Formats: sequence, structure tokens, C-alpha cells
Amino acid sequence: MQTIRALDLGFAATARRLMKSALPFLVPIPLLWLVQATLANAPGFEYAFQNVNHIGIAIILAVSLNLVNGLTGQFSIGHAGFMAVGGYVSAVMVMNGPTDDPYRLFFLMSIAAGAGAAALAGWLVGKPSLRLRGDYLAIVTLGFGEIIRVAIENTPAFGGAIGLSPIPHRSDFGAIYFAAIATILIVNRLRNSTHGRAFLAVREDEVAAEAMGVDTTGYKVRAFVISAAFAGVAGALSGAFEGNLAPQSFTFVRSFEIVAMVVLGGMGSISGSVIAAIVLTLLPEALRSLPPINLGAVQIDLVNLRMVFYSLALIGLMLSRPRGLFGSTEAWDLIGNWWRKRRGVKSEEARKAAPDAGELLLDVRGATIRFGGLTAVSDFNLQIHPRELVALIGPNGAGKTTVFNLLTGVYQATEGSIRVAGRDTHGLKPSSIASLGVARTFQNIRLFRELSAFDNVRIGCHHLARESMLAAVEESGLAGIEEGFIAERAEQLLDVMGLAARRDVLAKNLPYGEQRRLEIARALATNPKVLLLDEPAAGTNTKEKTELMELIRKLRDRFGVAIVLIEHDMKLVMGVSERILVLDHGVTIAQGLPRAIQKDRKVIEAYLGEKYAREHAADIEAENAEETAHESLSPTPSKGERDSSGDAR
Amino acid sequence: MSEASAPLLKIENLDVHYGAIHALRGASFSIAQGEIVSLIGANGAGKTTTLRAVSGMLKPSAGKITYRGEDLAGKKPHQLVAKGLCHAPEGRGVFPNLTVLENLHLGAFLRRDTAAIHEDLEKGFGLFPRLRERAKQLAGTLSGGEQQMLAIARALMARPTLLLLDEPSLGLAPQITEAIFQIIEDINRAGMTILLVEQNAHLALGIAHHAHVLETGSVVQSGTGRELLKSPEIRRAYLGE
Amino acid sequence: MIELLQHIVDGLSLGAIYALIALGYTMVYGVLKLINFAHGDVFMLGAMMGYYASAKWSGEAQNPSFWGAALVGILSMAICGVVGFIIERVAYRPLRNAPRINSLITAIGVSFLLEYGGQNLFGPTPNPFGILPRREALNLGGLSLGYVDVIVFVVSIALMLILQRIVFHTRIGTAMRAVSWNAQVASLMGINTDFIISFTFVLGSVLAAAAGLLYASKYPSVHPLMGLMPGLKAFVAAVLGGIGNVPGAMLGGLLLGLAEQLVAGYWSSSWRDAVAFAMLIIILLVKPSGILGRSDAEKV
Repeated sequence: MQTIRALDLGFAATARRLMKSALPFLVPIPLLWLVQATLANAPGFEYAFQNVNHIGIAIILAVSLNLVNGLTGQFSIGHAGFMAVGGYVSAVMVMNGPTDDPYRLFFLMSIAAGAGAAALAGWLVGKPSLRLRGDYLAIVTLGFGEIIRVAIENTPAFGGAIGLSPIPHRSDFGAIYFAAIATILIVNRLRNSTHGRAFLAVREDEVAAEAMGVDTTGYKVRAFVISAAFAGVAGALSGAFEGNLAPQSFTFVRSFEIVAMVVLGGMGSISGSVIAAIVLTLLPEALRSLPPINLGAVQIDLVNLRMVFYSLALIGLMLSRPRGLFGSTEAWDLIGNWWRKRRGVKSEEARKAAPDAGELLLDVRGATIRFGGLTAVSDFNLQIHPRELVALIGPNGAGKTTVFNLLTGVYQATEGSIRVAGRDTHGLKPSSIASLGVARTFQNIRLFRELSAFDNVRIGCHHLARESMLAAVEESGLAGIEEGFIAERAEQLLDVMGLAARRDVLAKNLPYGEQRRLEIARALATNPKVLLLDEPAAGTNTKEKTELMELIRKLRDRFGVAIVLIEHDMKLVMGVSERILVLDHGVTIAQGLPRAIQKDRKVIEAYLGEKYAREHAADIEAENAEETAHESLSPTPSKGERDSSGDAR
Repeated sequence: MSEASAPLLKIENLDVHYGAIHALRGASFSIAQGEIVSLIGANGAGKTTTLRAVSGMLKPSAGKITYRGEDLAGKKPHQLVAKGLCHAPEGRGVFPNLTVLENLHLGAFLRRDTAAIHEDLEKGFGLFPRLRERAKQLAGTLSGGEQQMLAIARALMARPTLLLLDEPSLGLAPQITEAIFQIIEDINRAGMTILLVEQNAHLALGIAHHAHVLETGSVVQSGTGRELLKSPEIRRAYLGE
Repeated sequence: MIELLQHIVDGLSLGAIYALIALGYTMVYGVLKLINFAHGDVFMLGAMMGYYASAKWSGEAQNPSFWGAALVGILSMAICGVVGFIIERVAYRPLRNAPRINSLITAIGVSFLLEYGGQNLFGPTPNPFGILPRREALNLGGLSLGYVDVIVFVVSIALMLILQRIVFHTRIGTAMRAVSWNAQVASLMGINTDFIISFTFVLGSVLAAAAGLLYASKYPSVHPLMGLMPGLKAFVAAVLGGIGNVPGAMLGGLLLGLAEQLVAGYWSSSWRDAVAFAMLIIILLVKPSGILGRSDAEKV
């Protein structure tokens, strides 16, 4: 409904919205122009502004690298390489372009070309290497940074080892700081969007992020490409400001300085990166002004100790304050926390999907998976209809969780087929399967621990959002409405799971039972058709188990989902499920109605135990008699279920 | 106080935190020399956590663990092994990248009595003939049941005074489970004290001299194995009635 | 044909050095799951220490006697062993349970500390140094077997065989392999994991020192940044063979040496540095676990 209203707004409103989104970019321009016109070239200020401009370039580099190293949790140490690509492409264009450049339009084009080239280089590096874990990535980026430098040194068009000079001085204080402010604004807006939460989800837990529908590789590559593009801009501005470019200024030392800024400032904190960029740019200047130390024969200039200082600071910081000086908090958050107001739109009823009961939501046929020589699950078959409640039981190690991993695409079946809502999931990534409507929880809770309950659920809403990254950066139109919708939905889900009061608590600080419920809320946020619950009752006491039983039925009725449940608690399993599958050593040894399972010989031997059988024999006989009397063959809802269906609206 | 009357292991008001999660809340119990003591309870009730705290893998946030009259605070697992306190961890705690024989020798890592080690090795092969057949194979190629056998055989190689066993029936077929529990009883009769964690409450209580029920990190009920098997609450909560 | 053989000989001698360094990466990665960035700089220290020791004793840093060379070698390996021990103890052990990225940053910090501390202490300019006596190359029907190359290859292979023996046939080696699989379970066997990890660092650093000395004999000069490129390439070799895998590191090192030499010989020597990274990308695309590595699916 809101969406429709928004689209009705018409041209004037669109213009106003665009204006509003562009305003923060435009406001600083007059100020920058004023400073540029009056102070920047004034006599006596040259040295000061040289430093100020170096700081500006460092800010662009640090904030953009923070997108990869801080927000997305990857570790790149080759930023200077992308800076070089941008710098050289822009410089070659400017040097071979028109000598007269009114309004510096051609220079702007060259910056764009430099950014584009750096982004392309970022894509080429990132695509193959971002599938790897952080430490591999670090080496690959370091290596690529070096290769780029070697390539430049071997390219005559780029001036070889001598470099390019003179580059027309078209970059100045105004241009550099406009770019710096734009970088901060864009990275900040990205962070506060659904894409920003996707970056954070990748950092926190990739497996869980995939299960929430976040394409982790895609997001890593995007972060990398955007970050490289900004580095390219910094390179272009730097070259045109200094008037020359030499490959020696883009070694790993440069990359390392940028990494030091991000780490010292705080991984994930934009303001931290800005402050660290200022401090670390001024530091060598300060050291330069101090007299050298005499150590007998050796004389050490303090400025040469700069790298030694950086490394000691990094080691010391990691040992004492591993999240960096600012952690992931922002200066402006600290000041403006009280000022922000919460959106207070009242919630509407949750969607009640009623899929055609004849449709098969899940259709697994002959699924087999082997690890090395070990067959973990063999010839597994499962058909799930809408709104069914099915339990999967069996001894530990029988392959139950492996089945969930097959269904959600964490593992690929060695043989057999798995269809979700009619679509074969072979070769699909977990994130794609999640968006087909399969959501899960994890046996060993995998929340995004460093994020709030609210953000955890909002990440679950990720694939509902259609806003593009550009829209997120514009902070306008659809993006805003979607953000509102996602926030509303997340709050509603927290409410359903009884977590409304915990909205802003970090997931890791919630008690165990609430963490389990938050995981269910997050799974529901993906709007699933089938919900896979992996031992939801683990670690809960008898009373909580009874509540959980009610909750499971309530979820089915309210959200219209089918639920597949792995659980050891027989009371819960027998009480809630309409159908049970028993796995043992990866083989389905029995399936059927709860009562039939309770007296199945094979199940008793493998799992339930003789005693359980003996003690239930009386009940089973009694119920059997009753069942025969009613001649009921359809799955009989248990008593509790009939009760709760009353309050389903 | 005579040596016989003092408990071999005594746990008093033990508290363990994993970050914000309070996994053990003031758990207390003790084990006498020569006993089998079982801990039962739901997943997440704190059984494995208790074993880990005893063997030094976790640092308790409060409480005291005394073994043979000695406070175990701050002791590392490898120091406890030297004192005869050995922990066979949950699941497939074998080293899949080592051969069966190497795994078994690691069990006797701290022992220098080569002849006796060889004797124990033979004894282990006697208990689990399958392991002898596969002595030269990498442990990772064994089936789940064989790995579990290897884990137990390896724990015995240390000649422990007190053996902590975590879920020896995990993922095993019923017959193998039965055989393993028979072996546990045998080695206990030969003099080894055993602290057993087991999710199959029937088995755990059937074999135990004493047993304790853990719920959300505290001992809520204690008694002999037989008493607990008969207790109506236990039957309701853990035997699936 | 002779030309090809010549490249193979040169490649193997270079590859043997890469393999020696790669062993340190792979062993440390095995026990700690940490890329010890500073490893290449320990390699540099090995060569540096050798330079200073021989300059001090024999008055000249080139063309020493056999016993002089042996003594310098042992001394430099011992110093590097101690340095490796200190690095682990001070910088890595406190972070044993921290997120891996923190250990990685610390490792980079240590690496730069050694490089730039070295620049301040030793001066940034290269010094000529060769621990092995200069001799005429052996000529086998056109195929020139450099004296240094032969020694480098033989010593490297001998050290690798010793290491292989330690890792696979001794008590402490078994313990290392146990720790590399699961340190917690290993400690339950009575293994002092801290000791094993320290031992691994010392062993890796000693090998790096040996590699540094051999490298400095092959390319007779030492300077504080000399560890960077060979260090990176050796890491690539370790990944190529399958990181955490001892025979893999040896295989990877030899393959990388051969590939570099062939590219330099038949194409262009200015691109030889790019070979390692190209191979890295290819192996990561084709078989990320390396040639001899095994892939373990993450347990969910």
C-alpha cells in the first residue's frame, strides 16, 4: 500500500526527493570553494594545505578500505594497487587530453575513467580470490598489489620506473575534500541500508548469511569493487595534485599505511578511519621535525622509524584492544543517539499465505551424500505438503542435520534430486534456495553475534528488499519505503517471538532460550514456505518445551509455513508432529504416524530403546484400539493442535 | 581422614560461563574411588561442560574442583593427564589424519614404560579386535562405530585413575552400544573410576552406581542409578514418558 | 635439450629454497591456522645473522672455509630459532583464541617490525654476502652445474628429509600432527600444546634461517627487505601443495621454482615475479585445497 502511495507522488515530489538526497553532497561545496579561493593558495599556507590535502586523500582511501576490511570482514592489503590503477589511467588521459580544461570537465571524466579502471581491476582480483577465507585473501591482494606495480613499471606508456610527470595540477583542496565527503556519505548510506546489513552479515557468519538469502560471494565482490573504485578516485586526485606519479609510491608500504588507519581507527567505524587518517598522516610530519637520535655509530632519523612505530602500534593494539580505538561505533552516533527518532508505524496483520494444499513444497527423491568413503545419508526421500508438521528423529550422527544441509544447499547431494516448490535446487547456492522459501535454524545457534536482535531479523528480510545499491546511496524513493517496511516487519516478528523488549540488545548478550527464539524470528523474516528447525528444544527445560510446542503450532497457523523438525525430546516430537521420519546411519529406517513409530521394532532398537517401548506399550495398545474403532487413516491432529487452531485468525 | 573415605573427585558450586551464557550454575557432586557415576540431562543442561571443566579444558568462573584432595584450579589438561585424570571427548575425538596405531600411542603419550604400553595395546586390541585389523589405516577411514571404539581404547592407554567418558554411545548402532557399555562395566570392575555423560538415560542409569540429573546447569536430583530409574519425574523428563 | 635441462637444474635449486621456507608456513598453519606473515622476515634475519657472524669472525663476508660456513650456519639457525620462539610467545600466543583476523594483523605488524626495524638497525642498502666458497661450475657436456646450486639442492633436500623424519616418525612429530588436527583433544592426551606450538615455530624458523643462508649464497647479497618476495612466493608454494601438508609444501616449492625458471628462461625475466601469483590464482580456482591438500566441508 505504502509503495503505491510513494509512486503516486509525481514529478515535483520526485525532484524534491532527489534534492533531499543530494543536499548533503551539495551543502559543503560553497564552503570548500570559499576556503579554496581564499586560503589554499595564500602565501604561508602552502605547507599546511599540502598536509591537509594528503589527509583528504588518506580519508578517501581509509574509508573505502573500511568497507572491505571493516564492514564486510574481509582482509585486503593491496589498496595501493587500485589507487595506482586509477591514478595512472586518469593521469594518462589528462596528459594526452586538451591543455585547456574549462570547469575541469575533462579531469572529472578522467577521474571517472580511473575509478572505472580500478573497479575493473578490483573485480578481476576479487572474483577468484574472494571465495577464499580472509588470510588467503590478504596474501592474494598483497601479491596483486605488487603485480600491478610491476606491470606499471614494465609499461612504457606509464613512464616505466621513472613514472609520469608533469601531470597538470587540476586537483586541489576543493576537489579532494568534495570527494572525501562524498566517500563518507556514500559508504555511510550503504552501511545503513539492507546492503550494509548484508555486508555485516557476511562479516559475522557466512553460513548463516547464506541461509538468510544473502549472496555472500556477491556481496564480497561488490564491497571489493566499490572500495577499489574509491581508491582509483584517490589515485587520480593524488596524481593531479602532486603533479607526478611514480610506481615507488604505490608499494605495499602504502597499502600497509592504509590498513593501519582502518585497524587503528576501528574495523567498521567510518569516523574512526577518518580520525586515524588524520593522525597517521600528520605523525610522520611531526616526527620529521624532531632531531635524530644518536646511537653511537648509528644515527636514526625519527621519521624513518615511522613504519616501526606503525607495526608496534598495530601489535600493541591487537593485543590490548582488538577492535581498534573506536570499535565499530561512530562519533556521530555517540552525539546523535538521543536525537534519532524511531519509526512508529503500527503493524498490519501478518501475511497469511495459503498455498495450494496439493502442491509439494519439498520433494526429495533418492538423495545421497558421501564424504570421502563415508555415506552420510543414503537414498533419502521426503515430500512436504504446505502446512505440514514433520519430525526427523534418530540417534546423534544419524545424518539428520546433514539432511538439513542438503535441503538448504550447504552440501550438494552426491545423487538424487531435491525440489523446492517444484524447482530443482541442484547447483543452487544456499542464498538462492533461501529465496525459494526454505529457512532454517542451526543446532549450534548461528546468530550474527555482534549485531542487535533487530538487525538480525532485518538481515532475514534481506531478499525481500529490491532496492538497488544506487537507491540506497540516494537514500530516496523506494529505498526509504522498503527500509520502513523491513523495520516494521522485523519489529512485528520480534513481537510474535516475545522479543520486542530485546530489540536493541546484541544477539550475543541474550540468554540461551531467547537466542533460539531470535533465530526462529530471523528465519521467519525470510518469508519461508518451509521452516527447518534443528533441535529447537535443546537446552530448554520442561516448561520451556511445553511453550515451544505451543509456539511451533502457532507459527504454522499464523504464518502458514510447513515445519520440519529435528528433535530428541520425544514428548515434543510425539506431541507436535503429524508425521515422523527415523534416520539411522543415514538410512531412513521408518516413517509414519507418531503412534506407528513408537511401536516400530527397528526404531525401538536403533533409537527409542526397549524400555521406552515397554513403558509405552499400554498407551499404544489403547490408542490403537481407539484408532481402529474410528477407522481413521488420515493424519490425526493431536489434541493440542485442535486447541490452538481456535485462535488462528 | 582415611584415604578410602575421601572422594576421588569433588565438585563444589561450580559455575561456568560461555560469554553471556551461564552454562553451569553452582553444580556440586562427588565421586568415590571405584564408582561409575552418570550425569544425565537434556542437551545444553551442562553435562559436557562439567566434564570439560573437570579436565581443565574450561576455566570455571566460580567453584572448586578437588581431585585426590588437590585443588585443580588453573591446571591444564595435559597436567591432569599426568595425574591420571583422562577425558575421552564427545563424538569422534580421534585424529583422522593419524593411523589407528598412532592414535593409540598418543593415548599413552606421557608414559615411558614401553613394555607395559605394549601390553595395554594388546589388551586394547583384545577388547576391540576390529582395531587390530585396521591398525595401519588412517583413523579417518574408520566407520563411526570403529572411531568410537578407538576413542575408548585410546583413553584406556593412559591407564587413568579417573576416566571421563562423554557420550560413548553417540551415533552407534544398538548392538555396538551394548558391547561398549559392557566394556565400561568390565574396566570399572577392574578398578577404574568412571564419570559418564550419556544422553541415553536408560543406559546411563542402568550402569551407574550413582547418578546426578543436570537441568539448566544445576544438579536437580541425585541418587543411585536404580533409584533414579524408578523416579517418576525422571521417567517423565528423560525416559520420554 | 641442454637448455631445458639447464633450466630444470636452476629451477630445482631455486625451488628447493622455496620449499624450505614453505615448510615453515605450512607447519605453523597446521598447528595454529595462522599465516605467519613474519616468516619471510625470519628468513631475512637468517641471512643477516649469517652476514654479521661471518663478517665478525672471518673478517670478510665472502668465500669462507667449510668449517667457518658450518659454524656461521648453525649460529644463524640458532638465533632464528630463538627469534621464532619469541615471536610466538609475545605476539601470537595471547591471541590464540581471538578472531583469526586479529592474529593476521598482528602477524603483518611483526613482519613490518622486522623489516623496518631491520632497515634502521642494518641500514637499508644491500651488503654482499655468500656463505659458500666460490668454485668453478661443473660442466657436464654443456650442462653447467653451479657449485652453489648443487650444495643448495643437496642441503635443502637433506633438511627436508630430516624434517619428514621428525614429523612422521617421532613422538613429537606425532604430537604435532595431533595438535594440527585438534589442539584441545591433543591436550587431553597429555600433550602440552603450548610446547608443541613453540617447537613448531622454532623448527620452522630454523629452516627459514637455513633457506636464508642458501638464498644469500645463490644471490649473494643481503638486505632487510630481501625476505618479502621469497616469503610471499614460498607461501604460494605452500598453498599450491596444500597448506598444512608437509610433503605438499616440498612439492609446491619445487614446482614453483621450476615454473619461475622456465618462464624466465623462455619468456621474459621481468615477469618472473608474476608467475607465482598467476599459479596461486589458478590453483585457487581449480583446487583451492592445493595439490595434496584435502578439503573439509565446514561443519554446520
